[in-house]
Amino acid sequence: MADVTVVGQGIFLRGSIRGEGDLEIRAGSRRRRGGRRGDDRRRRSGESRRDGAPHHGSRRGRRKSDGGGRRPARRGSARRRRREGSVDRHLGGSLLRGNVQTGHGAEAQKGRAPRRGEAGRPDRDAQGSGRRRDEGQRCHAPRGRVGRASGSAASRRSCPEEGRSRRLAQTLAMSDSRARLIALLRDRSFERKKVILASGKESDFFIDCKQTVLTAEGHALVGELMFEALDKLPACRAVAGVELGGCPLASAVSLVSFQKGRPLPASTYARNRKITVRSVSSRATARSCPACRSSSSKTSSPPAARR
Amino acid sequence: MPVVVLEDVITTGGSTLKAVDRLVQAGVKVVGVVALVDRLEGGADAIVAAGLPLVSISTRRDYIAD
Repeated sequence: MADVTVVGQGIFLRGSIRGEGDLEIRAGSRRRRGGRRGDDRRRRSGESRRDGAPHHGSRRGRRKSDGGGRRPARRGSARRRRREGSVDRHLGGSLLRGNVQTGHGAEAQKGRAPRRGEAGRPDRDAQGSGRRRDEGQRCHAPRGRVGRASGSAASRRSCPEEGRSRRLAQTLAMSDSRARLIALLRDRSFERKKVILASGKESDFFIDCKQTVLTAEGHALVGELMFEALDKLPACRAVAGVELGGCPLASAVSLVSFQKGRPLPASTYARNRKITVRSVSSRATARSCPACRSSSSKTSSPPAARR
Repeated sequence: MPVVVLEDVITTGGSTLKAVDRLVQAGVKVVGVVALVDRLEGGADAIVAAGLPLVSISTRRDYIAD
């Protein structure tokens, strides 16, 4: 057996590697953070354990389900152990247990074995999901950061499969943004009154989007929602706003597209004026947008194309 | 270059299609339209009939319960 210590990024972990590559990582010092505390599975199975050092060389207490790791010794009454909560409940004081040779292992999450590559996956979603960012981070962070033992066990248990929860978070964020934008439009732009439209028809409500789109929040929400809406359309490489109402829309979408790593230049044009090719040609956009420069060349696969 | 046209309000779709026409004449490939508000006065149908996919963020029903 060899002791290992992991230090970095505000994390201090201690652990050990035993024969056959079984690795166990505990948090902090052994005295303060479990390491010797209880394990409900052992308790449930009725297996009693003499107090003392972990049994070296013995295969007793080893389970295939958690990657073959070994539990440390426990101390204290069952009731006290039940009170302990946090990670101690799940892996007997371990934050991570696994085998360095086979790559199998389990984090402190009900002993579930993560899929390959899951543990280290960066939390990309939390960046892009806007107003639901908090929830997203709470949900994904514990998997990416092994050393975070302080999160409550309940929040971890409620975290569903990563892919599903990411899609759910995105959908929730979108519906949230949409609801907020409509609330803003109702408040600032909408009016129930008879109006004569540009087409000559009469309508029973008036809406002036500009009053919403030019607020800071409205601008951000419009950019976010319209950028997401582009996913439902064939791939595009620029957005065009019709003067005058479409101009801030194009601006907002272009801004969001850059922030999301898929830059789409904006162009605006007058509805009735003759459009010069130059104002919207790929050459003009390529000149104004460095990110599109490579895609305007004669290559067959434009890198800036969406999707 | 494929371009998506952004509109604030769509009523009959007439002015949107006129703008799209101008763009197409200028050699731009318009691949779709995104609108902030659809007044539900036939604009969506007219735009789709012209062969352009349309996504509306909100419609009249989001403001007035008919």
